[in-house]
Amino acid sequence: MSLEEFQRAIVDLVASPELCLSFRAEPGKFLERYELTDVERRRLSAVNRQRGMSTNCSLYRSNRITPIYTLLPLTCFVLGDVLGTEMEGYWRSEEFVDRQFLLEIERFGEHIRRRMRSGVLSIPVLGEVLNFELAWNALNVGPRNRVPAESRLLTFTHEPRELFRRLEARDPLPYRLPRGEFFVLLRALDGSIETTVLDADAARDLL
Amino acid sequence: MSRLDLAGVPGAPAAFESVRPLGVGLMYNPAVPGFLEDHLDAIDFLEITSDMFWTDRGPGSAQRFEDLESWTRVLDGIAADRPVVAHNVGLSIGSANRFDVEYLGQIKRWQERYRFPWHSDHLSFSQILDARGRDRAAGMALPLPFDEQVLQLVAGRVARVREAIPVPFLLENGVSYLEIPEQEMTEPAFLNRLTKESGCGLLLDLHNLHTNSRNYGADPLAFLEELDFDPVVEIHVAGGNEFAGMYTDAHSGPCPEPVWELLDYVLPRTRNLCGITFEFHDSYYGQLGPEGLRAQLDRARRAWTSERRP
Repeated sequence: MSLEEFQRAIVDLVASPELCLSFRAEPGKFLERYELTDVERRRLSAVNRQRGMSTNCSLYRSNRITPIYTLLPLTCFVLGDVLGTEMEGYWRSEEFVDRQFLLEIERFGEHIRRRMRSGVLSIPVLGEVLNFELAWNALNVGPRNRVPAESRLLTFTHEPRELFRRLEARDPLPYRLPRGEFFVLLRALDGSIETTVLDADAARDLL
Repeated sequence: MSRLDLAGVPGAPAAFESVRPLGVGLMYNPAVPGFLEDHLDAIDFLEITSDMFWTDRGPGSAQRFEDLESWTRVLDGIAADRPVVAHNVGLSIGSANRFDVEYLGQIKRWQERYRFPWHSDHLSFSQILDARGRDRAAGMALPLPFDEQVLQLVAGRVARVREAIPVPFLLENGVSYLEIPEQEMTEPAFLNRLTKESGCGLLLDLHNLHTNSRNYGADPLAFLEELDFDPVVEIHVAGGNEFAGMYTDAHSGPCPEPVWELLDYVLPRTRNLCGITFEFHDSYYGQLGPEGLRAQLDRARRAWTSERRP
């Protein structure tokens, strides 16, 4: 039981620089949360004062950001100045379950959607860009060469070609884009993802 | 040809396959397939982190593991030309309150698929069950105290791995940015007892040793002088850099000269060594370049061939 508690305490500390600071300020309050031996209490007090604890906290944050920043670069760009706030909020609401990149971006995507539904996030193109990147990633690692090909049909309310041209150029938001009902078909074909903008009739045929 | 004979250990299968020395290996990352198109002759084997090639929906999930087909296709192509060895990250062998039997089953399936001559993981913990019994990631490999209790815990887990998968299982000495006080054993003493009592082999990561020594002002040769080299089956070399106040095992390009010197010291003492593997992170490939990567592998090969191995 004791080693289990010791490991839980270290994991808690690495995940939270704030907790490391409060442990330094009020050691008794932190330690009473765990069933520890005297040796383990001394060990935790010692490692929490080491510079390596800061390194671990930084590595933890770097490791959590990596899948989101790597696989959702345009979503991160669209979030812009609120990215840091949203990332912190996501980390507070969702414990780090695993290091599976695809599952982590799906969980982050659901967090962003909740924030959009609640009205906290109201960036016009955010939902479309997020849906596009999640779909693209899901197809990119999924089975290939299936007949018919694996595909996703996405709906846009902003003209997608111009939207992605400006995003790829990292033009600062907001954009003035033609509004309407647009459709983008993603298909996983031999080694790549084919992206096609469809008109409404073609999209309805697919549906 | 050396033979890794780890039989006769309590809990171990009656016999082990002999392990053929392979030579120089390269840790897989997304930059590697492009490099190997022109430099396949630079390596004798490919090392993979198997976990990169599947999605894992977590313990108890229906269809928990799903292969990433676009990745496995690339791997299959390389595996047709070179042996593949596994260096995994998901076992979390030192977790006090969890041991993931489903994950072990997945490693077994992959060993059968790619015929790994050996497989390895890290002597650390990276996953725990939280107070409500849910899986939780530590976010990195965290150190274990070198205590008798931990030794018994890990040795018991090693026995289960060895029962499940009939090729040698190695544990890698870890890098740690925390210095746990009042430990019952030194790290090499712990490794010596663990390998002897559990029958696992040792993946000696010389850059981890260099990193720990540099951060804590320790003498890496003192570590090596205390270490039993017979269980050493594989060696890792890599590069690192400064991050957040410490030198880290970032796999950030060329292997530093002191690590090559450690390799020169170790090689004559390792009679069961089967491979030297260079690790780098793909985000540094732009700086390293194909010529730079080739130079690292060629240097490892010179060390390998000059010491003993044809």
